Amino acid sequence: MKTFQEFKKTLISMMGLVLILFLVQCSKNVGPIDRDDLVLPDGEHALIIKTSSSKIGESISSYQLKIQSPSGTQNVSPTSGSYTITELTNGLYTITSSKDGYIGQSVQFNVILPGDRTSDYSAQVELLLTKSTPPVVVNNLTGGQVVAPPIGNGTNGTGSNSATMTIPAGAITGTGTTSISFTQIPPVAGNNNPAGLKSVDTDFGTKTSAFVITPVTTFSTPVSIEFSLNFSQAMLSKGITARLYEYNENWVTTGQFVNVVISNGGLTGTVQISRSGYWAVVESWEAVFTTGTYSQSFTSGCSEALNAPFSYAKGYGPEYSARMQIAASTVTVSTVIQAPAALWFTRSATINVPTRNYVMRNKANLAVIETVNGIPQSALSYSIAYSASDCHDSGGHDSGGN
Amino acid sequence: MKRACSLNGNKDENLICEFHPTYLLKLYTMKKIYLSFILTIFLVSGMFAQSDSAKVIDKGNHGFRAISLVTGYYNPSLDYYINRTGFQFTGSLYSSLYLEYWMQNLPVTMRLGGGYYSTNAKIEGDLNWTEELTLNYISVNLDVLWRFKSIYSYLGAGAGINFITANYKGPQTNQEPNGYSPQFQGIAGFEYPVSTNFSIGVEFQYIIGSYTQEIKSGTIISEETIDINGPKIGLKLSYLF
Repeated sequence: MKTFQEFKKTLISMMGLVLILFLVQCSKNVGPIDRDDLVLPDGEHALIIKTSSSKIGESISSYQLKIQSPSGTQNVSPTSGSYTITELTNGLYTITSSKDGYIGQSVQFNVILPGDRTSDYSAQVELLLTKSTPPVVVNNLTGGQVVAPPIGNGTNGTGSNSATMTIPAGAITGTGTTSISFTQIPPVAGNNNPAGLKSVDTDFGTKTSAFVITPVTTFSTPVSIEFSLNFSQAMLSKGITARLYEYNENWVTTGQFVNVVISNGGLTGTVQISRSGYWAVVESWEAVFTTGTYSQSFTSGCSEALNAPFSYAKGYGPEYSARMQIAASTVTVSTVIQAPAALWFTRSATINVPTRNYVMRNKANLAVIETVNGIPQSALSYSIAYSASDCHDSGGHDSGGN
Repeated sequence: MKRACSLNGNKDENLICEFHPTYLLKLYTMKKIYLSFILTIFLVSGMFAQSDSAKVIDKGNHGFRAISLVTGYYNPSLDYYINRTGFQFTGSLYSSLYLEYWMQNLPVTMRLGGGYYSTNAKIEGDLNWTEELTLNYISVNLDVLWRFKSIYSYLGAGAGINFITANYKGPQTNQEPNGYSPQFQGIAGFEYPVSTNFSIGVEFQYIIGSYTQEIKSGTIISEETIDINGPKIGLKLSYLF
C-alpha cells in the first residue's frame, strides 16, 4: 500500500514536471501587426492672380477680374493687388483684368493639379493695368505733339520713356480740333494671353510694347512717333531691328507694318504711320522657351514635425528683362515647408518648382543673344508632395500620400 | 536598425536604453521595492502566527485545499512597445482563479490557475491620427507553493502558458493577431483565515517571460521580443475545502 502511495506521489510529481516542460517548449509567435499608413490631409490649392499698374510704383486699389474656368465664369472686384482662387479644377483658366480709365490684359493659364490628393499646389499669374493717357486737344489745321507717358521702371527697354507723336499741320482732315489719346502699353511676358498684347504672334519677332492712339482715324499726312528703343550694343551686334505692326482693337494683326528707324546708337526709334489705332513694336528676336523643374526634398526626424525654409532664385537675363519690361528680373520662390509631426513617422516633403529656360536669339539668323535656364515660373508657382514613413526600429515603409 | 542610445540628452524621455544608468537605477530601485514587499508579507505573517489547527495552514493530508480568486495589479515591462513604438503602456488590473491541491504529507500545495489581464495604449498624433493597441493575456499556470504553517505565508514558483491577443485598431484597419508563449513566476503570499471556510490574503508574484510579436513593415516582417517581466500584486479570497 505504501509503495502504491509513493508511486502515486512520484507519478503526480512527474506529471507536474512534464507539464512544466511542455509549457516551456510551447510557444507561437503573435501574428504580424501591420501598422496603418498615416492618413495625410488633402493638399491646399491656390491660383494667385497678381494685378498691378504697368507704371512702377502706382498702386491699384480696386479693379475687376473676369475669371473663366472649366467650372464657369466668375466676376470679382478685388480691393488689393492679389486675388486667390482656392477651389481649382484642371483645365484652362482665362483671366482678364479691367478698370475704368485703364487698359487691361487677359492671360490664359493651364491649371494642372498634382495627381496626388495630398500635394499642395500654388501658381501665379500676373496682369497689368495701364492707365489710358488723358486726351490732348490738337488743332487740326496746325497739328501738334501728343506725349505718351512711360511704362515700366523708366530705365530700360521700349516704352520705358515717354513717346512723342508729332502730327503735322493738316494731317487731320477738317477744321477745328481733335482730342487724341496716346498711350503706351506693355506686353505680357508669355504667349498665353489670348486677348491682350501677345509677345509672339508675328513671323518677324517679339512684341515689346504697343501704342494705342484714339480715336482711330486716317491721317492725310503721315504722323511720326519717336520713342525710346534702348537697344543694347549686344542687340545691335546681333542685327536686331524693329517694326511697328498694326492691329485691330482685339489685338489681331492687320498685316500692315512700317519699319522702325533706329538712331542715336539704338536708343531711339522713329516711325511714320498713316492711321491711328493699335500699333505694336515688334523686334526681330525671339525667346524660345522650354520648361523644367527644380526639386528639393526635406525629411524630418522620427516623430518630428517638418519645418524647413526653402528658397530658390534665378533671374531673367539683362537683355530679355530690358526688352520685356521685367522690373524685378530675379524670381525668388520662398516658402516654408511644413508638415505636422506624427508619432513614429518620419515626415518628408518634396517641393517642385516649375521653371523656364530660354534662348533669346535673332529670329532670322538665329544668332544667340542670351541663354538662361531654371527661372522659376513665378514667385508663387510650386507644388509640394508630402509623405510619411514608419520609423520604428523594426524597419519602415513609405506610406505615400494616400 | 537598433536605436542609438545616448547617455546624455536623448530627446525621447521615454527611451531608456539597456545599460543606461537611468535604467539600471530604475531596475535596482524596483527590485528593492519587491524584496521589501516580500519581507513585509513575512513579517506581517509572523504577527498573525497561530496554531496549526487552522485549515489554512495544513490539512495534514492530500486532497483539494482551496479555490481562490486573486485580483490585483500587474505591470509588465512591455519595453519594446514603450521604447520603440510610442504605445505607452502602463500597468492594469488582473484576475486569476486557482484550484489548490495538497501534496501528500508535505507542507506543499500544487495549484492550477487561469488568469486574465488586459492593458491598452493609444497613439494620438496630429493629423487626426489615432492608433490603439490592446494586449489581452490569458494565462494557464501550474504553481507549487511551500506553506509555512506558523506564519500563514507561502513561497512558491510556477510556470504557465500565456495566450496573447494583440488587438490593433488603426485609422484604416483592425487587426487581432494572437499567439502564445511560456511564462514563469515567483510567488510569495500571506493568507489569513477569517472563518472555517474562508481566508483572505495578499499575493505577490514576479512574472518572468517574453513572447515574439511580428511587426510587418511593407513586405518585411520583423520579430520583436515583448518582455512581460514585471510584478503582480493582488488581494486573495479563498474558499477552503
